[in-house]
Amino acid sequence: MRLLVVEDDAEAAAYLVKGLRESGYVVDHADNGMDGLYMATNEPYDAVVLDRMLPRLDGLAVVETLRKAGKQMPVLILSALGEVDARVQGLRAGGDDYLAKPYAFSELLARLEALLRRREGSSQQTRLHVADLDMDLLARTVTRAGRPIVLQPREFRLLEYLMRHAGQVVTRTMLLEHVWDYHFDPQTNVIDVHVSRLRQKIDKDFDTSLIQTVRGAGYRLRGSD
Amino acid sequence: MLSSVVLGLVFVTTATLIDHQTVTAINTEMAGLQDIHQRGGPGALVKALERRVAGYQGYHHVYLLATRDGEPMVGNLHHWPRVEPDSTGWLRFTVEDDTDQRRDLWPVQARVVPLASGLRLMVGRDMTERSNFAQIMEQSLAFALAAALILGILGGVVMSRNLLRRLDAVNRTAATILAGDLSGRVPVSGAGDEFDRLAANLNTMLDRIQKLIMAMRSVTDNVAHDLRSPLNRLRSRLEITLVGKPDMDEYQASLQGALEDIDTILQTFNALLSIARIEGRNATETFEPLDIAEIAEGTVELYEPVADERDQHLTFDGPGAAVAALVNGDRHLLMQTAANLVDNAIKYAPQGARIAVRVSVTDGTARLEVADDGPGIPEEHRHTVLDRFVRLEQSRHTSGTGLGLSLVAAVAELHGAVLALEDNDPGLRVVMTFVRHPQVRANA
Repeated sequence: MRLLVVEDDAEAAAYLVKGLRESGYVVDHADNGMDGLYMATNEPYDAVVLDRMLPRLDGLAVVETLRKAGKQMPVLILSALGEVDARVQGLRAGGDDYLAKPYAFSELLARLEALLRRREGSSQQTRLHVADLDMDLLARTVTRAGRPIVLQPREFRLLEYLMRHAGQVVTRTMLLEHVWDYHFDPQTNVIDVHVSRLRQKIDKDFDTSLIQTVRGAGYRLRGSD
Repeated sequence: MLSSVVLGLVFVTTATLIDHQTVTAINTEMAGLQDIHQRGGPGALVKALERRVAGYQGYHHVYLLATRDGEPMVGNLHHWPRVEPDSTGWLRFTVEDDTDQRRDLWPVQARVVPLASGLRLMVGRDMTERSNFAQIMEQSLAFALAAALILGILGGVVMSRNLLRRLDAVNRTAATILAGDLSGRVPVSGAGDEFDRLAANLNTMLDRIQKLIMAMRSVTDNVAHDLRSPLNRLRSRLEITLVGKPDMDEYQASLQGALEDIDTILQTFNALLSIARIEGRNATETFEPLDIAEIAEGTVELYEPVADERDQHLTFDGPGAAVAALVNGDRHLLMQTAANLVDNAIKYAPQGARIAVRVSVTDGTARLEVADDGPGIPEEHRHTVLDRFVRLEQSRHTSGTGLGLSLVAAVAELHGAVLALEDNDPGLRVVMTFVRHPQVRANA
């Protein structure tokens, strides 16, 4: 996977590039909007990590231009502006996800992974299948190894999200945003409690637990591999 | 000043009246004498004049009959005046001497008429009284003017001293505040005049500024207090790790701890920023009609497992499916508000507590209520908990930034909602009463 990091803060960029390389990505770096746009249009990147405030060309303008040029690779916007409105602007300009600074590297990694994998899975699916877990999206039923599991509507959506991102790290913030539509940090371990309830239902009577806790990052539903 | 104008008017009117009467009197007398002359000839006129001159003791009237050359024939003047009459025969002159030497100078207004016989007849009147009157009037006027001027100057001095004194009070207050004492206020005299209104407005402004500065000061103090300890902990942690001879595991543990410290600091920081943004925000642009019951129910659903873990009983009680608790507001902020209220209740109420979230609609006004039967907040502290960072000593050990309720207060203010902390007897009840939404259907 080849990534482009457009970030003008040299030190922040160095850490970001180092972290991403250690996570197995091939990473290029541009320190201004113009170079970033040039590189993104001319090289086949799988995803772009874009700072919002950049010299020479603003981050939002970079995404807009990229989209107009027909480039559809996922773009993750980083910004010091954390408000919900700023987020909406970023997504409207063509960004695929928005992360406010300061962010945890694990959060960035998880979101990036989600963006890179998203294109593989189709949203038209009516059934999700992970290991011995089956989910029927139309009948709203879940079975594990053929045994039905009764879930509350929210638990169903939580599991659906985990299954769609099977094998990936999913952070608490990602769950809050996508399952509950909460765009703030509730300070309490609400997500942990919900996940542990879900775990009770799907892992309790089985030898292998599917929902894993990733220390310092979030959760991962064990993939089919 | 007014008195001078009145005096001036009196003078002008009186003078005109006197002049008019003089003219009339002279004309009447002249007409009579001309009549005598016409009927009886010069002889009769001379006789009549002699009689008149003899009959008058004073010199109110002046008569002189003279030849064509101006040689006096009969009358109470010795000389024909040197002043030439105007085209209508009128003239004014001053008599320099008279028959009995009683006075040296007296003004005369007179009319000269040439008679058919070639004689010239002059009839006049002594104008001494009029000129005396004018003199008195002039003096009075001068006096009145002088008095008005003096009074005016004195009044001006007194008034401007009063003005300056009151301006000085404003200046002194400003100086006090500049010197750092924010409690200084402009004195209000109680006269209810413009100065008092100015003083009242300035004082209101100063109250507001003082409140803002105090708020800012307390934020700074609290930032210092609440951020210093985790920063200090972080620093010691890193320092001590470096001083020792740590192995890999110890390094990892230390760094992990450091990350947690930083997260706490960032959380506090973000909460502070959110509140500042909400307070400085221009509302309404992100506002939309929302069902507060739906938001509260979602929050209860989110927190229900958390309450369950603490054996707490978290319930939701809505206005019923038929009623929409519509509120004009910002979805994310209201979600966060409901979450903060429930989060607080769970955090501060003991194990086994009952926490009730209720949404009701009365007369189109939606009400969100979060009540617990925990220890509550003592009445004297209820007001202060809404301020930033205030955490009652007893709760200092629990996690959180202490900014939850301040954020709720800021959101309430942005939405024009009234936030009240009430006694749930036992426990705390936080009530948020929203402004009436026009689309709300009447309560069934």
